[in-house]
Amino acid sequence: MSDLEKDASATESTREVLERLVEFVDRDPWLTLVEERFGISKTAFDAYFVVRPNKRGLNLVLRDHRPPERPEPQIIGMSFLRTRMRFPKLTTAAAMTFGPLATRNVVALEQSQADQFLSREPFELSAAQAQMCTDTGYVLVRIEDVFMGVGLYRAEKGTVQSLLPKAWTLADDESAFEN
Amino acid sequence: MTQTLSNSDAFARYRPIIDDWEAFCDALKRPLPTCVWTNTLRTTPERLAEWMRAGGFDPEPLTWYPGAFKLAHDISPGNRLEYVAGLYHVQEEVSLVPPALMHVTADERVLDLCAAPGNKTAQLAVAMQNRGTLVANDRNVYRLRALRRVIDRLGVANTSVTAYDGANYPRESGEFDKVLVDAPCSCEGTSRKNPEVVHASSVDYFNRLSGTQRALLRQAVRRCRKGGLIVYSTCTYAPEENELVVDDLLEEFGAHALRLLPARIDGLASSPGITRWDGRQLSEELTRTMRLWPHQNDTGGFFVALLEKTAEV
Repeated sequence: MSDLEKDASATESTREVLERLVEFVDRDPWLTLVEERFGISKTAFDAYFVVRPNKRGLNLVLRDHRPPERPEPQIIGMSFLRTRMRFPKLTTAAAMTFGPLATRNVVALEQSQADQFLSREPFELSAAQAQMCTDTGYVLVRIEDVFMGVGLYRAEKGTVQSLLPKAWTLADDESAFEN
Repeated sequence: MTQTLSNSDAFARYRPIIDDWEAFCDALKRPLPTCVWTNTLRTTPERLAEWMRAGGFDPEPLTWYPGAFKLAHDISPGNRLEYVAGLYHVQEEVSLVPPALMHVTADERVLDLCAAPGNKTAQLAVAMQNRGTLVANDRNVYRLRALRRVIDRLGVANTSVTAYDGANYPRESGEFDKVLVDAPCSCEGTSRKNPEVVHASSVDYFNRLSGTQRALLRQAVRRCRKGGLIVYSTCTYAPEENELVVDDLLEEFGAHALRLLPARIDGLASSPGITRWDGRQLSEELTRTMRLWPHQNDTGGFFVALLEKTAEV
């Protein structure tokens, strides 16, 4: 089934409303990038439209999602790719969600490396870890079976720079009572 | 402990409607247990419990809410890697109640009218299995940042976020199957966590808030489809913000259009809403609302009303 056919299978009104709110993009080049780097199949994104809500990047929106026309939404769906960089980068949210589907450029961290990743410090990879990486570029990091986000692997140095956003590093305890 | 004395003093007006005043006062002196719930989009309650035990926590499953755990009050679950990775969310036990009463499903369109900071939004999104349409609204753009962090961290993809005055939420937003109004309130029920709330308590303040609360609930009823559900909740004791608000709206819309359904949860102790306050007689239907006092389940205090819209308005 082509993307066009899939889009046609969404209800017309859903797509029409979304088109008035956000720009639709040609998804294939972006999904190709993700597939080539991480081995995450394009079909993993079949349930979503790929849209551009702003200059910074792309979002995933479920095909049956029906946002309000008014008030115009501040956010629709889930952040997916940051595109305003030299190499487009998976967002941390997308890395945590789709990481389990990746087959390459995934690094399983030791506890000490995990601590460094969480505090946004660079760390060195062992030879075995480096073998999981194809070349310089983004890697998905996991701790046991839990995906934590994205790092930048530099093959010549054998290091990974943590790309965990500052806001994610240490959250204050969330309160149910911040009314 | 002058603070707890002032708590009891501040809440003395509720003595006639509390089943066990001593137990209530004692509960307010105790620290609040910490509660977390499993993000089932990412993991299972069993796996999360393993992680927590390995981290030196002792998770105690909640009997009434699958996948939620109570933890000792003196731990910080908000700065652990499982938290950062979105395996769980931290939320006070009693505030899990309003979304739990909504029984949302993956094919519904749901509105969370006063959504920031996003705890109940996240709970609803996960209950909908990250499908369907959840619209999270709050008038305060700044407070929506916290909500965005929550839904990002938990991997929520079925949500659109709007920043609008809920009391005037527009018709063009479309119809909703279910609407949650977790209204801004005087927060008396949070005194175990925020002792300063008692200083704000005054009848003037309650009455000021209740104007906003009525307007929010009125708009929620309008935006809900015929046959749909509306949940109204606050974390406060004041009847001016609870039963009186609901009673006014029942009268305004009429029995043919709006009715209360019993709000009860198996395994959670609660009291029925009151039908008399300050000389005013309310509809007998108000006993179907739910009051959760801190001593009943060792939580904060809450009020919840479950409403069904039975006709176009």
